[in-house]
This record gives sequence, C-alpha cells and structure tokens, in this order.
Amino acid sequence: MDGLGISLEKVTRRRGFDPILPVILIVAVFLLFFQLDQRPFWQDEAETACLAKNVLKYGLPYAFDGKNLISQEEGREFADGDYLWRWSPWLQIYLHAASYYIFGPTTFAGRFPFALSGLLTILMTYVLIRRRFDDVAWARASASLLTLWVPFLLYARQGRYYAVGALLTVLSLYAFRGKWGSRVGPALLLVFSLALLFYANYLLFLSFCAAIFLAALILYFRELRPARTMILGALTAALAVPGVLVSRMGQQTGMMDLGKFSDGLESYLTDVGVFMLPLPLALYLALRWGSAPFRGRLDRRDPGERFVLFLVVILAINILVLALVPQVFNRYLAHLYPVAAMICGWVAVKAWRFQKATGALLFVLLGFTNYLHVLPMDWLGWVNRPWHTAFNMLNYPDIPLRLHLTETTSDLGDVNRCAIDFFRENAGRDDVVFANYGDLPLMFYTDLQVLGGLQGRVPPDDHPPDWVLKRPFLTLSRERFFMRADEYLYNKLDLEQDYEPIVLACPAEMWGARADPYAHRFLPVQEPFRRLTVYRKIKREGGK
Amino acid sequence: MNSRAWRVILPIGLFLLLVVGTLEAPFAAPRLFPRLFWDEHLGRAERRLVRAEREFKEADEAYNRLRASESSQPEQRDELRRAEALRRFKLEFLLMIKEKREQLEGESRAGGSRE
Repeated sequence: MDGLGISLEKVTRRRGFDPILPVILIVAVFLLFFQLDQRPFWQDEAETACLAKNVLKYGLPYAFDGKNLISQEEGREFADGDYLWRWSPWLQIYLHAASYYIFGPTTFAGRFPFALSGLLTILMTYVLIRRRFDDVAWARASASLLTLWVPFLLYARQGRYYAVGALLTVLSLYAFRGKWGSRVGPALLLVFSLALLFYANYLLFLSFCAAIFLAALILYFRELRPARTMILGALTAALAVPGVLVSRMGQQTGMMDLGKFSDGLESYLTDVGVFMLPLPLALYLALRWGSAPFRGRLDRRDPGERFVLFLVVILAINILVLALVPQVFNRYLAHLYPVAAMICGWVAVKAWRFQKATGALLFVLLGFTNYLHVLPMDWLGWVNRPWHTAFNMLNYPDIPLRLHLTETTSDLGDVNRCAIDFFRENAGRDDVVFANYGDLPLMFYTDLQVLGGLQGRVPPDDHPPDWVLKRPFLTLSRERFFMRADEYLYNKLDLEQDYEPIVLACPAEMWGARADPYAHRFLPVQEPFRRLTVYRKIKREGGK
Repeated sequence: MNSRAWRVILPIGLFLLLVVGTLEAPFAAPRLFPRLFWDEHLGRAERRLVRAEREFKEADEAYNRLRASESSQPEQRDELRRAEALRRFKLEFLLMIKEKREQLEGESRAGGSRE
C-alpha cells in the first residue's frame, strides 16, 4: 500500500489544504466558462431569457410584453388574460434576471449563474465526500470525474435549471449526512435545498424527494427521528406551497400516462448506462452487494460504502419516478450527474487501493473516454441512437473532452446565430417575422415582433408577415393536429407566389445549441446540407 | 476467483477496452477500417431511409384514402386534418433522413473523419 513510499492511508485521510482541489477547480472554470457565449440561446434557453427580460420590466415573469408572446405550449403556460408564467418554476427566470440586472442582457450573463452553479456543484461534491467521509482520494476522484464529464458540462453551460438542480441535490445530500437529526444548520440546509429544488423544476423535486426519503428509510432508518423528519417534511412542503398555488401543475399532470412507464424506464436506464454509471460498474456493485456475507457486515465496514449504496438506491428510485411521466428527456437526469460521479469515484478509488494499474486505467476510462459507458451497452444493443444523432456525438465511443474542446475553440456555426444576424441586418424596425420554430431566440436578440413557433399566435389573414423563417422542425400537437404555426405556414401562406426566398449560408438545423447529449453537435455540419431559407414578402404596387 | 487472478484480469481487461474503444472511435476507425466503419454507418442510414419512405408512403395513402371519402362529419374532418398533418410530418422527416444519408455518403467518399 505504499508504492510511492507514502502511506496511502495518510495521503487519503489527511485533513487540511488539498493542493489538488484548486487544480480541479481551475480546470472546471476553464471547461465551464470558456466561450460560454459562443453560441446564442436555443429555443428553450431563450424562453427563460425572454421571461427574465420581462421580470426586469414588470417584476414578474409575464409571457406578454404588448408585442411578443412567450409560449411553447400554444398558450397553456398562463391563465387566460393574465399572461403570468405558470408552467415552470421561476428560480431559473429570476437567476437570469438578476444576472441581466448586473451584467446586462447578454448570452454570457444569461448562462453565467448556471455555469457558476456547475462550478459550485463540483466544489460541493468534493466537500461532501471530504467532510462527511474524510476520504481525500474519493473526494478528488468524484470532483475530477464530474469536471471531466462532458454531458454534465453541456448542461451546466446552459441558461436553464440543470446545474442549479445538481447543486441543490449535492447540498441536500451534504445536509443529509450532517447531523440534521440534532443540529439546526444541516436541518435548515436540507429543507431549503429541497424546497429550492421545487422552484428549480417540479419533476426534479418530486423524483429526488421520493428517492432520498425512500433510500433513507432503507439505509439510514435508525438515524431517522420520526418527529423531526415529519417537521422538516412539513416545512419543505410549506415552502413549496406558494409555487404550487402559482403553477398550473394540474394541467401538466394531465400529461401523465402510466401506459408509457416501461418505455420511459427503458430510456432512462439506457441514458444512465451510456452517460452516468457504466454497466460494468453497476454489475460490480450488484455482485458486491448481492453477496450474502457482505449484507451482514455493511454497517461496520465502511460508512462510505453505505453512502454509495444509498446513492445507487437514490438513482434507481429517481428513475422509477421519472418514468411515470411520459415526457422522457435526458435533461431530467441532469441533477444526478454528481450522484453518479460520487459512485464512480468511489469504485475508481476502491480499484486504486486494490491495484494502482487497475485504478489508474479505470479513472482514465471513466474521465477521459466514454468507452466504458458506451461499448458494453453497444455490444448488448442497448445504446439509443435516434435518427438525428451522428457518430461524432456522445452516444458513440469517443474522447468527449476532445469534442468539447473542438467545439469551444472553433467556429462551427449555429442556426440561431445565422437567423439572428440576418434579421438584425435586413429587417426594418416595424417588420413582422413569422418563424415556425426558433421564434424565441429572435425575440431575445432582436426588437422585432416575432409570431409563430409553438406560441399558437399567427398573423391575421389580411396581414401576412414581412418575413418568414422556415426551420426544418416539425412537431404535432397533443391531439395529433398541425401546430397552429405549421397550419398557417402550409395552408395560409403561399411562399412561392408572395415571397422571395433568400438562402443563407448556414445549414437548416433543428435546434442549435441544445445541451441534450443526443442532440448536441460538436463539429460543423458536412455538405451537402439544406440551407436555412428566409422568405421576404414581395411588395406589390398598391398592395400590402 | 482469487485476488491474484483479478490483479491480472482487471488491468488487462481495462487496457483492452481502452484499445478497442480507441479503434472503434470515429477519430481512428475511418482511417483504420474505412470499409467496416462506413458500411456500418451507411447501412444504418439506409435502413432508416427505407423505414422513413415506408412510413411516408403509408401516411400518404391514408391521407389520400380519407380525402377521397371526404365527408362533412366533424369527426371525419378531424381525421383528415390529422392525416394531413401526419403526412407532412413524415415528408419532412423523410427529407431530413435523406439529407443525413447524403452527408454520410459525402463523408465516406471523402474517406476520413472530420478532424
């Protein structure tokens, strides 16, 4: 155990300053903040950004400012007539707004608080393991893995709730392993981090609260004091009440479909295997914990190991709860990246203590490649590869950091940037733009009136728009009809007759800078591709 | 299996995975095994295209069938609207799949990865 002439126990269990931590944080700062504003907001980020602009104007997140309407659900996000945003919680909107207040409404400002949350998540992952389990090697391994995991970096570099969710998850785990049963500080931290998680995203709150509570019942039952647990639960619920009253959660629960549970579960399990906890590591843990002699000794062996089992149970229950909701998105797992990093970090350190070569190889495979994640799943045919993925994306074996650095150090173009630049240069102040998608980035970055998108707001028949932006994005309404914008585009407008096409240089992509690892493009689109086309209304004499 | 055996198996296994992963990765595979690499990706794109064409054809036939028997009943009008939307959806999807395949073909002709 002392191959370098130093006792491993001394190195890994010493207290005080750890020179590796600043190194990890410097790398994290670079990976999180470098070229943060390289690509403009895509549709979902722009939704939050536009609402934040309205917060600065009106104090509350109104979806209508008298000119533009912010909606991606054809108006379901607010009650008739009041336009107050009630679809998703407000924490991310106010974080954007606070940053705009300080730095001005820019892309960097919009993403800054969330990238900072990502950095704090990495720091708190380290602090949690170091303080609660007094294991420097595990703390280093967990924080480094999280820093190097590109799917986490992608989510943390978005102006959305993802990194905030991850930070609150780690904070609640830190509080949970503090003496929350007897001390006020950890108890309050637990309550506030869970309550704030509700204001970050309802689904994250519901899935994580259920998971941490059930996992605690299973693994830390003796620590749970019923009275205090109930008081803290009630406090958390009470803090969430204002959010429940404002929200339109009732309308969203109408979207629940238990019939799709198995599809959702399969999808989330695949995502966990491909991006978080590699299948071989999951199997190793299952075999280790499944063996009968181990089960009896779990208490006395290692508090760290019990915590890792606790994290695995949290991961599993979280997925089960999320699978109940038919809207299956990889982003609903974003808050679990630190959980997975702590599990993988623990296994890597265990391997290092068993044999240095094994530990080092495992760390390289986990941190610098995705081979251990992707290949075993691929051999079993379990990797999800939707049609829009390409072999340079994260669901193929690769060195993800290579892709991330290639993207951030080169100009790979962006469909939203292309449209924004065009309209800034060519549209008149009072022009009306109709876009079947990508309306929200245009609203944020230009002063134009923008209709269409998923707003459900289309121009009146006698006032066709001055400009039409046709993006290759098609979705159907929940009732399987055209969205109103598509209905208008295909059935009301005559682009050939009334408009002049202007073909732009950039490819007509669907999303732009979307973080989802199944959708995020790191390299330029290859020729041949369809180019983004804008249509300008032909002015006829005496006509409109 | 005893601990000594694991000390041999684990590093060898992990090292092999590192090698295999690197050989399969898109920065190496198109140069080392171009035919295998492009056959796999073009084959996948081709299968998607065949499926997309079939789905469009089915949607198109369903739409034309409904249009031929157009009635003024509100439910049937809704069915027709749904069929029209689905047909357009499948058409756009088909165009995107075709574009993806053409890009892959272009890349395979260029004969390398995009580094």
